[in-house]
Amino acid sequence: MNIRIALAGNPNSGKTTLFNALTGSSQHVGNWPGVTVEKKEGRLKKDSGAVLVDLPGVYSLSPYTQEEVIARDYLLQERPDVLINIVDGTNLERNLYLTTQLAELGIPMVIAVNRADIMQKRGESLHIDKFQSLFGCEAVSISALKETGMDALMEAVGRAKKAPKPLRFSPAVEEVLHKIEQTALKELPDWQKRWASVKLFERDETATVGLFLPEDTLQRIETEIAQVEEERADDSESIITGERYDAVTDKMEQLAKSRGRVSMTMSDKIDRIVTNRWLGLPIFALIMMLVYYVSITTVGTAMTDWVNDGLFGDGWHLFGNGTAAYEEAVTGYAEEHIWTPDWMREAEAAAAAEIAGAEDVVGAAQEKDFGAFEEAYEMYAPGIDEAGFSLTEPTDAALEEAPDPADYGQWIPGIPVVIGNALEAVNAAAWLQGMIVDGIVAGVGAVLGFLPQMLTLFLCLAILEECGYMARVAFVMDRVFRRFGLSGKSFIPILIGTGCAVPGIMASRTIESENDRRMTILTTSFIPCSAKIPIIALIAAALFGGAWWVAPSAYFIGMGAIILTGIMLKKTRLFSGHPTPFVMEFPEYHWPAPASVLRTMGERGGSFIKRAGTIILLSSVVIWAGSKLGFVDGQFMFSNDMALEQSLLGIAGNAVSGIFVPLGFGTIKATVATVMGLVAKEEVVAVFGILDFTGLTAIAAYSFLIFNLLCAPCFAAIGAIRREMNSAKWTAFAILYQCGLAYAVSLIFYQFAMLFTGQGNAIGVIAALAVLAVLAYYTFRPAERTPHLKPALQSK
Amino acid sequence: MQWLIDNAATVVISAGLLIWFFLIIRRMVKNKRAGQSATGCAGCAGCSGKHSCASAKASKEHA
Repeated sequence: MNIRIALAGNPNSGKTTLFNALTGSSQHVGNWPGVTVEKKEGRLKKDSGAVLVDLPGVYSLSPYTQEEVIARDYLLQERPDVLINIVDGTNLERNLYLTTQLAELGIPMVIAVNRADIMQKRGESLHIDKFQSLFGCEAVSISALKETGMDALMEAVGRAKKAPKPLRFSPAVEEVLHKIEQTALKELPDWQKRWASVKLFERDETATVGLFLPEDTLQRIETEIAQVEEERADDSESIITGERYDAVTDKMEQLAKSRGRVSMTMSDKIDRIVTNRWLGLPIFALIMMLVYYVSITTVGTAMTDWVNDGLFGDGWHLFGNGTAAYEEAVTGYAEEHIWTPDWMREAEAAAAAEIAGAEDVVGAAQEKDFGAFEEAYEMYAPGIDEAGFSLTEPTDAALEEAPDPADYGQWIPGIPVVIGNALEAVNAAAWLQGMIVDGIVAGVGAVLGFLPQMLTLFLCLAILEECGYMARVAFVMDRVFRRFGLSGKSFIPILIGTGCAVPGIMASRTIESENDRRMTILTTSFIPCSAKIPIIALIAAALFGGAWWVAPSAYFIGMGAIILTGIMLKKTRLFSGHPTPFVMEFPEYHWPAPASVLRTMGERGGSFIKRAGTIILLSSVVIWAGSKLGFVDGQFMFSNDMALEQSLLGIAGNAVSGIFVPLGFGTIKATVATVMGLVAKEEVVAVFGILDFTGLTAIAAYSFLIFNLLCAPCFAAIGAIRREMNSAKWTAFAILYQCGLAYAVSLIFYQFAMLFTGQGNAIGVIAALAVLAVLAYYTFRPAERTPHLKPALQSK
Repeated sequence: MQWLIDNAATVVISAGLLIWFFLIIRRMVKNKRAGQSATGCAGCAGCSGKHSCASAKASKEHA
């Protein structure tokens, strides 16, 4: 038979499985919002003359989502010969809501009641023959997965010639619908009248815009609708929705032969706790804190320490054999030759003078931790020396004679040592040795050093996604976001953004409201992406002694920035409007499949390594070259010992570092790191790998962290913003807003933190108070109520 | 000639690095032309939802 058959139904009702069974194709089957936004076509295996069209899964034919618009436009404009409405027999009530809408389209229809096998297992059964009297069309019981009932279904399709019976609403509504059909829809073909009258009653402009009704007719209809709304004390759309559900409940009573065992599933029981109105949010906060704590502070750190200190450091003892003996020997040596009373007095004086890092050096010496001492000393000694405290001369000489770890066990040298020795052995030029060891290996190694922490984080997030928890978080966050004018739908891009902001920004496409979509694009990059994790881990380890709270606080700063932005911008004309309804089907909880979790972790980790070997490597060479090329006494030259201030990097950094002085990190290195972060956020860490932390206090470092978390994302993400906004003006607005907010929050944090630690600066505190007042004003002011005004930036 | 012999290691390693840099830049340019991120961001590759994400499919089709 030469016919066109459309396949329509709820998401996850088994449409694609049925499509594959009937056509023999192998379309991807999944369960995530927006799986099928385009329709698919195929020819029936048993009848090549019949074309089957698989429409996107929809819950209704309202104009809220792209999927709904695609499905509805196809059914109305293309008008297939027969419609197969696939309904999930295990979730009939929700599925039949769509059936009541499809029945109004005037297209011959067959209802395919899917998952008959599962219903049988549950002891559920239906009076299939009653569908004919209740909906005016045949129904067939099938299992798309097991391919049972396929022949019966296709036979019913062949018999379907008449349109089903549309739902009868209450008399008051029916009276208005009748009047609408008689006055406004006389010219329409009969099959379209019912659909159009219901849509006019619901004030669905997208469905009725093509009717070109005169103003006085519209006015009459509006009066009739308003009268019913007044009588029922509800809006017209809700009246129709309510009556549809009432009718479905009634029909369900008549259809049910046996209800089976009604009991709560394990997923239902878990959901009662994790999506609970009061517990949902604290549980989510607790889980994220735990995830970041485990990844950044515990499991990940142990491995990261080995990668940083061993693999990309001096080396390590095989299986740790000899480490204890070496540490004992080297500590004894340091106590005798380095941490002498004179030395300690000088170091403590430097710490008292608040020279950056001096406290760390003293602390490590007092705790007799030679590893920590060596690390802190290497990082901060030049700065301490520059400040006039003579620590380096006696220390450097003593370190030369320090015990050799190779004497205490099987010592495996680190990558920099191996490469450095190899380059030395082949007599490579000094500049080349510098470029490879101090540039490439230091820069790439600094980034790769955080790989264990990142893999642990990716693993934790993949487990949460796989087991089905993250889908619930979107629901939990919907309650929070809705208060601020956004919906849970905005959380899905943010969730994806924890991996990389680029797909997160792209995922905003599924948000129908233009204002909400822009807002989501604007805020997605606030959540720490994988590239920002090394920055957080670096700051936590280097300046906060690996404090557990640094990483979770970074996540919550991102969430806070999203909520603050939602509150502030939703009150402006540019972003005003009610959030769209958020509907998402919860997948069943299940144990994560190890292969799938490991594949996700591997893919994310692999892309991180790929970036380290490409863009980070190139940028590291540029940074290294910039720090070694410069002007000495007016002469442009290269020197391995070039002072940073005289280097090209130093000159450029110096020119803009003043901007960051009020934020506490107006140093050349921090400025260079921030600017290079635009290339890729991992670059911030690479810069500190090549340069060092001299000049940064803990408060300044946290301010630096806040700024880098919230400011404009990397170029790749900016490109994604440009593509998704499709407007240079909106892209510029997004970047300026992000940088502005980052600057404001960092300024407030730094100035008040300095004030509370007794180091406040009057001008700085006044500036921070002024910025805080502006933020408070935009947060608490009443919303601008101008829904009819077109946004100023609306034009592309 | 003597200079080349004296600096053979430097020349060979430098040449190897230059080829590496060239390949990286060529890859970035190719990615950029294919509509992907030139700076090597994982994009959809780094996303666990890529197998079923409409955005990923759309960008793939676009590329």
